Amino acid sequence: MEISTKKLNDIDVVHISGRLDAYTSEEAEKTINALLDKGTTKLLVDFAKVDYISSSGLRIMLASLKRLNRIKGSIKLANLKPALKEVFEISGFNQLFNFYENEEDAVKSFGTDSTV
Amino acid sequence: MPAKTDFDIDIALYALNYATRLLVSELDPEKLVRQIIETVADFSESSEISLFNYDENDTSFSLQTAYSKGQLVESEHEFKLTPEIKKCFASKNPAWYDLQLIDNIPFPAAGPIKNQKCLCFPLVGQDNQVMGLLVLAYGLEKQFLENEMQILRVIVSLCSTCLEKTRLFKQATIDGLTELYTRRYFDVILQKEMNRLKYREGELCFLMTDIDHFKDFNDTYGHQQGDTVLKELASLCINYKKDEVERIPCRYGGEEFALIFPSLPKAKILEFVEELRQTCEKHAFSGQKKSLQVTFSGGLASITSKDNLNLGQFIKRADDMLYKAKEAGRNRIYDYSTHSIKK
Repeated sequence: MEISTKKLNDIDVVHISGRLDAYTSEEAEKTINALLDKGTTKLLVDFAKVDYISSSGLRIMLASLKRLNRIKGSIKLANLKPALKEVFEISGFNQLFNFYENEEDAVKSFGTDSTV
Repeated sequence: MPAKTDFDIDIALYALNYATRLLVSELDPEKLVRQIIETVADFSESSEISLFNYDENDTSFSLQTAYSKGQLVESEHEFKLTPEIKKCFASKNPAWYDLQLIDNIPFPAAGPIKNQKCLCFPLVGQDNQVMGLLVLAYGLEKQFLENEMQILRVIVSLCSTCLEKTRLFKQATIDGLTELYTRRYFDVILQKEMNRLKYREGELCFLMTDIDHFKDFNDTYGHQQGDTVLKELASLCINYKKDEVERIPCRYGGEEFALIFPSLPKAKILEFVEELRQTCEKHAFSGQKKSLQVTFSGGLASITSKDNLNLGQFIKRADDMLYKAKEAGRNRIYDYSTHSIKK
């Protein structure tokens, strides 16, 4: 698993690639928590290169969502592969998270909607 | 060290919901075992986990798989039932034991807990029969909150049920003679793959085959020899380039086999099915003093998410091509999209 971050105006974009499982999710958690600790309120996670998300990976997204909701921030998920998106939807997470087809759409959405 | 206090029950329940969906969706026993290990790793915070099979009827006990720091590990070691494991099975409840690592595989040791410990979970299935053992390695300091332990128990029960389900499913869907999937499973899985097309790019292909002159072959050599041919050709369909070409091999009818290709590009599949035909042609089938030559004909059909076909129409396309291949002289494969002879 590899993880990188970039800043697009006031949005923190996180790119993850590979498998987000019990063994690799600690690094992803540290990276995202570091951004949250710095006070980001707009977080975009790009899953274009993610093949598998275990429940550990999901926990990180849920924990980030909780933290951001407390400060009226928001998290957007972009580029989820169809099979992963399907499991997210069947599990009801489309009620919690906003999914976007690509990074550009997710970035645009921050302009009109600052909460999840 | 004090017990963890940052356990978030809301997040744990959402994660449990997600893990349940991942587990119950898996029908392939090998993939399920991997999913079980991943899920247990997620909920247990153990980085070394082993899973053992157990059969209460003949008391056979063997390592199924093991996981160490994110990787699956293998071992030639012959693990045996120990008094600790028997005690754990009798109680049908999790229990802590001293830990030994054999080839990085956690296993309960006899005697009091010393430097490291392991949590042993019996996998209890239908009729409360024990069907396996999960062993999770921990340092001495590990403590579980009650909520955390209850969720792990739910996960382990779910894993047991899913393991049992896939084993029963396999028994019900594998043809006894050829070890190919049955016709009933073919219908189910082809429909499932057709439905999946809307979530993925690319094509879905399947090949319908029929052994050439099989009736004459049976009349000449007898049905036992015919069964040998069916078994050997089925073995080719299952194993030829198994690691390179993902396929779901099925027995459609008597001597008709169908191969579903759920993931590969069509060009690669065309290449593969032609190679398979040639391999069959050259294969020396056993059972007679002089080796026997057997050939098959095939019809290949493919669809994309844009094609508006139902299951019957899709099968008919391959069947029509098979018929044409037979008419054209047999021992060849016709592709629906080109109608060209692939010999």
